[in-house]
Amino acid sequence: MAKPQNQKRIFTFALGCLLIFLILFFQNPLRSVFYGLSQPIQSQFFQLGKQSADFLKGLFYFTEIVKVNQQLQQENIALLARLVETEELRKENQDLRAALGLGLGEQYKLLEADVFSRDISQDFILINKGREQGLEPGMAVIDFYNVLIGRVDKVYQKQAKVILISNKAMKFSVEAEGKRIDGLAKGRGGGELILDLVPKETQLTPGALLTTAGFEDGLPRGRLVGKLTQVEKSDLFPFQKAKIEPLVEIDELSNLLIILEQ
Amino acid sequence: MKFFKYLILLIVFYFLILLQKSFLIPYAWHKAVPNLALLVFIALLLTQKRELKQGLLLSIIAGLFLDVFSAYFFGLYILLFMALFFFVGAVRKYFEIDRSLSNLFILLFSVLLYYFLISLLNIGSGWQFNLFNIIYNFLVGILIYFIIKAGYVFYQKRFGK
Repeated sequence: MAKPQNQKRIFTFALGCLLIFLILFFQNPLRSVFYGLSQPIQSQFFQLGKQSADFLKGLFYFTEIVKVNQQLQQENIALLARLVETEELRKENQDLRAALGLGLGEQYKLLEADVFSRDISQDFILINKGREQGLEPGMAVIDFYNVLIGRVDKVYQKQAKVILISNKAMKFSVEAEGKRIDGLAKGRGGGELILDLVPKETQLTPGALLTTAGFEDGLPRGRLVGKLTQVEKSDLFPFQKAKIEPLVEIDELSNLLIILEQ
Repeated sequence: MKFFKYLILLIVFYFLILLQKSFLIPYAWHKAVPNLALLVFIALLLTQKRELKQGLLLSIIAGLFLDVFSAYFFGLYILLFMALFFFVGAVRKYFEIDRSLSNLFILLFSVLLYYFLISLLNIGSGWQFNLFNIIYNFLVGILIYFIIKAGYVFYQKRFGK
């Protein structure tokens, strides 16, 4: 007969093993339960954090905000000038769409979702729509301004994990202002994104807007990705690289659209 | 009594993670966000007597919710926190001169070790080490350490335990 002390130890050990087994095999339902519980609290916390952080930033960075405001005003004037140029193209495009009977809503089946959790270091977010709403891994996620945010990675019962375009698992082809680029946009983690494997002879212009080329499953063509910034060329490598500045920051994400069908 | 202590800790760590993943996101500094669960965990280790069972249980409680909200395999943060528990225990033996100052050194080394181990995990997809994470977490960690220490001293005076 084992001593009571040993019996207790064996019992604790067995209980521990059982717990580990249960957690490992039921980690997805377990995560789903916790996400469901945390969702309303996290949404409230995020709003509170955003309001208080905005207030504090306003206090500490007042002079900087004034400078940024001036810069934005200048940029706004430049954009207005470009808008006049593009207005004509837009009308032409609208006419063509009407002629072909294509509206955005008819092109895509979209589903709106709210972000309730954000992880900056691992470049993912959690949204409040899941398997029940028809989500599947691989679906593209965009915002209301047609900017590509990422793609659905894991789907739970009522929630889903979305990896951002800056996530290391993201690789996709892009176009620079309508022209196809031989190369790949790759997530580097920590909110960073690069354009890699671009032949040296390709002309990359800093400031150019990148859009998706649409060669990957689930990622439609023409979604905004970011702005090209630093271009790196070296004689040692056959390819050139460039940094991409994403158009949306993770803390700005609140409402998103999931492309269910194309 | 012990059961309630751990239950309270479980609830506290749950809320810390919720704060970390929502409230603190707008407070990010160069993509660095305070890791409250990590900092409270280290501060608790530094302010209390070292006991194996308690330390391991605390590692499980603190790591559990980080695992729930992480992209890595389940149990990774629990293992990381256990490693930190042994690290803090081993290092504390060599620092006895000025407790607060030495504890701050241990806090810094623990934060460094934690982010070093996390970076090692991602080495396959390129080495990435955000220095701002270390600085930001260390600064917030100092604040948390002194709050927990003050709370611990108050608790001991009030209840004599």
